[in-house]
Amino acid sequence: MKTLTPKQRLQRRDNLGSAIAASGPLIGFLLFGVIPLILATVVSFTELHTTDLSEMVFVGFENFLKVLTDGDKRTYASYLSTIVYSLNVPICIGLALYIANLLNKAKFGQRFFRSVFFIPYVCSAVVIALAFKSIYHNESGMLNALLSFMGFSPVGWLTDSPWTFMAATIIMTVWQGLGFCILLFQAALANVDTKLYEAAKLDGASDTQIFWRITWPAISPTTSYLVTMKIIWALQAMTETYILTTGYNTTVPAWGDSQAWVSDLVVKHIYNMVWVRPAQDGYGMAAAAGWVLAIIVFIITKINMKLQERWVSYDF
Amino acid sequence: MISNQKNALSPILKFTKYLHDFMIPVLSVVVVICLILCCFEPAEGTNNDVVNLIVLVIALLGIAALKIVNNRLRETNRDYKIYQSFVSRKMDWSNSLPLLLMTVVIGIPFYMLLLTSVKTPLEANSIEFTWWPKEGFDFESYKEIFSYSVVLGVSMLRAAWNSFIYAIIPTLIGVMVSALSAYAFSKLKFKGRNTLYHLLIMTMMMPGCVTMTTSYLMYAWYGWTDSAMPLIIPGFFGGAATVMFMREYFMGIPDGMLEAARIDGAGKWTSFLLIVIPLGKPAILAQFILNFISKYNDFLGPLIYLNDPEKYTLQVALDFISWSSLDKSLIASACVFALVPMLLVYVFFQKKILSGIAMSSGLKG
Repeated sequence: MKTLTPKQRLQRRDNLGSAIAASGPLIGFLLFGVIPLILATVVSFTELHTTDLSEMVFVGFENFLKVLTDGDKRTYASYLSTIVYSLNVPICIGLALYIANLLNKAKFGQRFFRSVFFIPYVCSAVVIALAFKSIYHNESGMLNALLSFMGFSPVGWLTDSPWTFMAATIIMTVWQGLGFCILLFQAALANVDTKLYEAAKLDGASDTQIFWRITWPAISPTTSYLVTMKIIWALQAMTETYILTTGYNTTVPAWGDSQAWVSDLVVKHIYNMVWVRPAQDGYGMAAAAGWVLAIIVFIITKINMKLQERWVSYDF
Repeated sequence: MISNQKNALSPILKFTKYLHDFMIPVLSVVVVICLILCCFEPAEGTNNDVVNLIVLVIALLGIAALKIVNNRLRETNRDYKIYQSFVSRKMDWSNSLPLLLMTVVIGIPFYMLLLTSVKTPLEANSIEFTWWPKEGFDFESYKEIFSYSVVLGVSMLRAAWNSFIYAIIPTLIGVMVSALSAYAFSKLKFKGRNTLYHLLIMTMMMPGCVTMTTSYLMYAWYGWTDSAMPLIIPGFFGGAATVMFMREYFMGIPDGMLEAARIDGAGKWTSFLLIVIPLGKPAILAQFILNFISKYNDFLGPLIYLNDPEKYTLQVALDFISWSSLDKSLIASACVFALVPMLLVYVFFQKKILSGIAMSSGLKG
């Protein structure tokens, strides 16, 4: 055994203390993150219908095959829903950029508008979804009242077809996500060097040219951050559509001949496997489906990052 | 010189300028509304879609005409060009029109909730939508939410208390643990610091969709299901994102101050408590508020782990009420009740929240 001088011993104790102080969140992850991850890997190869782990039956890759071949006509439908739902990302980002641009040019009320647009961010998704559900209601909803006021026939937003349902969901998500994007875009726009604009104006550039040649590249890091984050969130969303289909509106449309509701996004689909249909699917299927989704999210994020190398510039 | 140019412009040109600046945003809004309405079927027996198309075409033509006239004047008239380049900045109040419209759109759902909650149950549940409570204001439903389904065990007051407790305890402890961790990562030197930090960043990439179901298995194994433990205990250990954000902030605290404290005999704990915490207060407070909001608004966690109505949080209680009640004014009142605390938090800590978000996304707000 090596003998340490008192100073070295003190140093070592010091090191250990600092390391322990630093690793609070890591300890939390070890306790509550690693075990589910290992369990997910193990359980995905087994059949398990209750929380009793001793009932596991090893089935090999059967769960993954079931998920990928879509035996119950639910998986593909859930992925279709999620892809359509992800359309909220470009809409939200485009609209936010437009509004942030207007905000930065506005002569008054900048802070007022920004605070108002940000209010939905602090509201819970449940409350928002319940409010929108009453707006979308077939007979007594505000939107249909507005439509008939303008002389158009009402639409059954949440009941007519998968497309109206998804449109309604996307409007709601954009409404909620706008404030966050506006805030980040506004900060990014304010950071663009005004000298660049002045120089471009002196050279006679038009507004469109100025936007695409100066503003867009200058804020591209923010745009890429928002795109990445919002895609990851959209792929793992669930609460919004979950609440839109509860209670007094339960006739939810489905894609084609799928047995699942259009509101079953992938995470809801996984949730259903364990908490709605545990006898048919159970934890094994859910873990396998979770891994499939995680891999898809990972691949999409990677592709996203590769694409971003082309249009994101950090020169400004 | 500028003021001279202003006066040099003839009234007609000035009017054209005003018209252009005012009408373009107005017509753009009209075009957007018409385009949206194009997606809908006209009411039976009318030809509103044709009217809509005509309005759309007129608005588009109007925009085109204004643009052409404006460009033509700018090219031919030197005064107009100079006038426009200097004065148009001041005239752009009409650009605020889309912003005002957006404010209205943001306000609509809140108005809906308030409106429905003060309608009488009869009016709220009638087939016809009314923009204003015709039968008068009725606050009965607000009283009712406190007594609603106490038989089933769901009481809104109880749920509000639960929400508060489940959010505040893990946030308080978690943020302090995160602050300590951020302090160690930013100001202390120890072996393996970078390795640990990279590990921490890696934990953020853990896929939530994978562990959602197996976390339940784990907590069932611990015997923690049907209690608030899975919602509270993991929060004690702080979060990687919180640490990352606070570390960035703590890096800005000058090393010299810590050095001086050390020379004066302060240990690591003392300098953490007496220097880092007071100086890093803005970051810590911002993270505290943001964490509290997200914990309070969490729906999926309580939905999975809480079965006993006694332990429901507000969000789950709202879900429960929306399943079990048919009275819309009651649901709306419950929503307002759940919303008000967060709105108050937002009103009081707005600056902290906004700058916290902007900072944690890598921008200096």
